Amino acid sequence: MAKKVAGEVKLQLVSGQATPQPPVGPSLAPYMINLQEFIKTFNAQTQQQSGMVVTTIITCYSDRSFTFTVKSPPAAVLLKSAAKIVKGSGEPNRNKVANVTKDQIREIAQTKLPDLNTTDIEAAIRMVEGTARSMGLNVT
Amino acid sequence: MHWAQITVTTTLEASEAVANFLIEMDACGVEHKDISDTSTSLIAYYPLDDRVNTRLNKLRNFLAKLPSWGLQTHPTKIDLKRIESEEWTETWKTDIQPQRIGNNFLIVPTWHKISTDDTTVQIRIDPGMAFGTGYHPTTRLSLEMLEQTIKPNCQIADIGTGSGILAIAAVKLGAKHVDAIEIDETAIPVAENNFSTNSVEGCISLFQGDGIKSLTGKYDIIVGNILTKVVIPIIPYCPSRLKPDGHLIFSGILETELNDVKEVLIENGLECDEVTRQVEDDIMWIALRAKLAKP
Repeated sequence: MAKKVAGEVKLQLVSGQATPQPPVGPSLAPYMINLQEFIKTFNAQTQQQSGMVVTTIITCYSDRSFTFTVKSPPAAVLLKSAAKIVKGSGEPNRNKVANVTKDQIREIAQTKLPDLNTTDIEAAIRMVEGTARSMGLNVT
Repeated sequence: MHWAQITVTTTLEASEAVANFLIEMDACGVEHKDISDTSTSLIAYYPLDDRVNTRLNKLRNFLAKLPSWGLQTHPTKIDLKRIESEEWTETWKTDIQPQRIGNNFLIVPTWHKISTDDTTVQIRIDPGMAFGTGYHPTTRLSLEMLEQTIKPNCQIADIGTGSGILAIAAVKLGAKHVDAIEIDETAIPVAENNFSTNSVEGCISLFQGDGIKSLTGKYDIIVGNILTKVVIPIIPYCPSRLKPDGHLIFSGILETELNDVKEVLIENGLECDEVTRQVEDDIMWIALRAKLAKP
């Protein structure tokens, strides 16, 4: 297929629960792709992880066809799973909600590395560790 | 309903923390738009109501604390924009109109009610998760060349069928049978659905496979709307799959690649007998037709 890419859209969405409402509608509207088909297929493909936020990259082509891939969940989701919490702290400096270990941080950084614009594991660890602290997690 | 679009431009390092915060403030999702190797924009939407200012204040406080958690945030800015709600599932259809291609084809989205004369060959197809909607020059060039080349009751192979548009066109122009090959598994159900919508499924065999190597028959026409890097490796397999008076039709070739393709055709006992061109966005696309060279 002689595809020419018109643009790529990167979205964090709740798996199995995409709707035409923002951010999906206004983000994809400029590419004039078949929105219903994206929503239907995305929800079907991610229904097993229903409720978990995932990252998806939608590639839109100049003939208005499209494809999409589902990447690893965002670092914050992996941290919540590692710390066994549903939500971060509303006051991260004062109320610590759980602990994560340095080893868990490194493991999450390794998982995220292919999706980040870096091959530098130390930079990825810094990002994940900072995200953990912003959620009220103690890094031990 | 109106929406408050909040855009936070920040460093890539802080982006995961900020995206999570936007979602925990009840956004249904976040769009990431990378600006450079180190900075990105995060876009989230909230109902435009009296909670917007509270959310903005919370966000400003959160961003101010990011450095204390070891995240570099400079430069960071917040933009707020009002967005009108739209029927987003319908607006994408607004400028998709039936389009005439070649002498006979009319490509029509399924939601359009249209009546045409008997000579028009209607193909019902919606843009979706497979290439080949009729909105790209390479598809138009392939359809035109197929129309000029096809003869009733011929056997056709469609390599990289995508949406199946060329296979459908071939059957509607009188082909007896089409073997349609597609490597991309997501395109297979799209093609199947399009074959059914156009009532041609009985004349087409659809395979998931890797190009012409998957085929064993002999064909009057082998057509492929595929890129040059895919065309070149399959050319050596084509002479043994073509009937003596058969034709190859390849589209998806750039003007700058034409001579390379012609050289490979000659090396494999084939000769180019027609070339057509269409420009889009300053890119010159080529379709070519070839046949077995006379000894």
